[in-house]
Amino acid sequence: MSTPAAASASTAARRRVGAVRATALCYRVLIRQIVSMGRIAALGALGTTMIVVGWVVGSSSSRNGSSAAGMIFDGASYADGFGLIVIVPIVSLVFAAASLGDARDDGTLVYLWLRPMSRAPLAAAAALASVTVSLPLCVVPTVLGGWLATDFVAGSGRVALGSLAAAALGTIAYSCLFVLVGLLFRKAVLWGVAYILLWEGLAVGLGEFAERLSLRGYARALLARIAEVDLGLVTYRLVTAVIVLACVSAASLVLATVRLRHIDVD
Amino acid sequence: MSPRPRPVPAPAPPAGSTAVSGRFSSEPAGEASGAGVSDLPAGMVEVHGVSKIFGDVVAVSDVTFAVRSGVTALLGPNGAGKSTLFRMMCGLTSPSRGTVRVLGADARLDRDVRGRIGLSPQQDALFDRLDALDFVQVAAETHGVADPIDAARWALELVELNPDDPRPVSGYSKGMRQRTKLAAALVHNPDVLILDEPLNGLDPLQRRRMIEMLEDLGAQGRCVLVSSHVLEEVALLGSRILVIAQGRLVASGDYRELRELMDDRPHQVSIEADKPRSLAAALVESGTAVGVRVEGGAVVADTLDVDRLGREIAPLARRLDARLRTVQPLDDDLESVFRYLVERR
Repeated sequence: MSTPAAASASTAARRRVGAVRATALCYRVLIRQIVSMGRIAALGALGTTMIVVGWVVGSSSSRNGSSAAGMIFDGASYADGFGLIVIVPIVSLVFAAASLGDARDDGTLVYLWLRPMSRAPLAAAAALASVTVSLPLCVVPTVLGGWLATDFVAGSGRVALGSLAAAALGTIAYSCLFVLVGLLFRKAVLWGVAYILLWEGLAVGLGEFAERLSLRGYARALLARIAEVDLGLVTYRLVTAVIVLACVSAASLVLATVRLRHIDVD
Repeated sequence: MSPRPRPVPAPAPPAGSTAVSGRFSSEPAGEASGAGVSDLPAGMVEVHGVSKIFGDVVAVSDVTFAVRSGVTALLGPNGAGKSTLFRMMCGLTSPSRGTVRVLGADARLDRDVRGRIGLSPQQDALFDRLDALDFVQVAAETHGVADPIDAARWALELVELNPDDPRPVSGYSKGMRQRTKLAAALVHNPDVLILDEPLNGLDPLQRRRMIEMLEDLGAQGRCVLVSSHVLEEVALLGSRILVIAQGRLVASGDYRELRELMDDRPHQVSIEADKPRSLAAALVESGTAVGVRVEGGAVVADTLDVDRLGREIAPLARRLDARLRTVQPLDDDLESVFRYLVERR
């Protein structure tokens, strides 16, 4: 293990790591760390369940002679009730909280933190990695499940489109939020589940103000507006829903960057 | 092993470079090292009046020292505060009080300085899904090394790991993981190398080679900081030593000086023999022991000169017609040196 002087590396051979390059490097590592067969299988099974149940709902509604408007409503409600309430937040939580939270808990964060790079690319890479994995696992079952539940009646395309937009933007917003949660708390998945169940699940039933503070309300507004159905509670304008979800995503990443600057790394 | 040719030779070590500020001393850390710091040019690593408090626990208390190029060992028992000091040097955590400067800046705030530090942390964790080449290559790329694959191969060969081993590092032994961490710490040619217990998990041959490598790196003008809780490991490094105990810097110097301190302090020796009370009295009467007590069938003697006690115990026992069964030092270990140094403060 001797190190002849001639063999030693040169400081001159180093170059500055720009933000895009840093993001790509961190992304490459983090995405390999968060993807595991167990996670994909469990969350894939959840998605498959939604698709199968959607097909059963659609078939039975069709046999019972439901109206097209009723089936559109059923499909949108199903995409909201299963996709946006369960699948999108849970899948996003599992991968986003793991992206930096697991690295912090197991001590590998130091290998990305103690580098001549700014902190923003690390937060962005974590969110990108989470979104990359979560997006298909959220969007495919939400869109297919909702669409199948309409049994492809006329206008069902709007439900699919609405589900697509709501699931995609919801996944991005939740992923960014849970990257931050992963940096704020150890055992972030537990905190995330508590947030999903207690706030997104229950507190929004407390009234309009509480619902304004839940991501689910804005994702559902996208679905309701595009599918042109009334899903009850507060329905925001399409633009409002998009802006709020985008702002939550951006703010979460900014706060995650700030947190990375001040965090104690093991 | 084929060292990778690099474009620019390492800088020659400055004259008298392997120095730790502060003379050898077991005086209070602030006084001992404070004098040294003012006498010496700025170190590559400067720790001034640093404390770190976690809740009610004082992990590091008012530590001051400066380290220049060469190999320096932080020696102390587990939980002494060595890793916390290293973490503060790397900017991984902020000191509660005092300042830590590496190459004149705070690594927590200065991106360029972070790029000049190589850290091999104590924890065993690696990116387990990556193979060793990927792991070290990521380290090279995130440090902006121009030719990361080549550099990663060079670093792995340097620590005698096969860069073409396709196994993920999760399948590696502890020693291989330790060497992977070291390769990642070395791959960007850092000026300051901070290695937390780097010899853990290595077999004796690997340990010897690692020590040779660290000496080479120090001789090239780098600042190599190594922590250990094993005095013999530190002795092999031939380095300057900072002794940390209970979060305080209790001594600094070289191995020989520390060894002398071990020999100069009062020692306790357990002597199992017939007629322990008579033997205890004779030890005190002859001046061989400064204090004695009888525990069970054994005499526990406090002596300032353990060699003299060794020479005189057998004639004394013969004179008393007492049969000696065992004579055993009770505190000839590093823990008792730390205890002694801490109690003296």
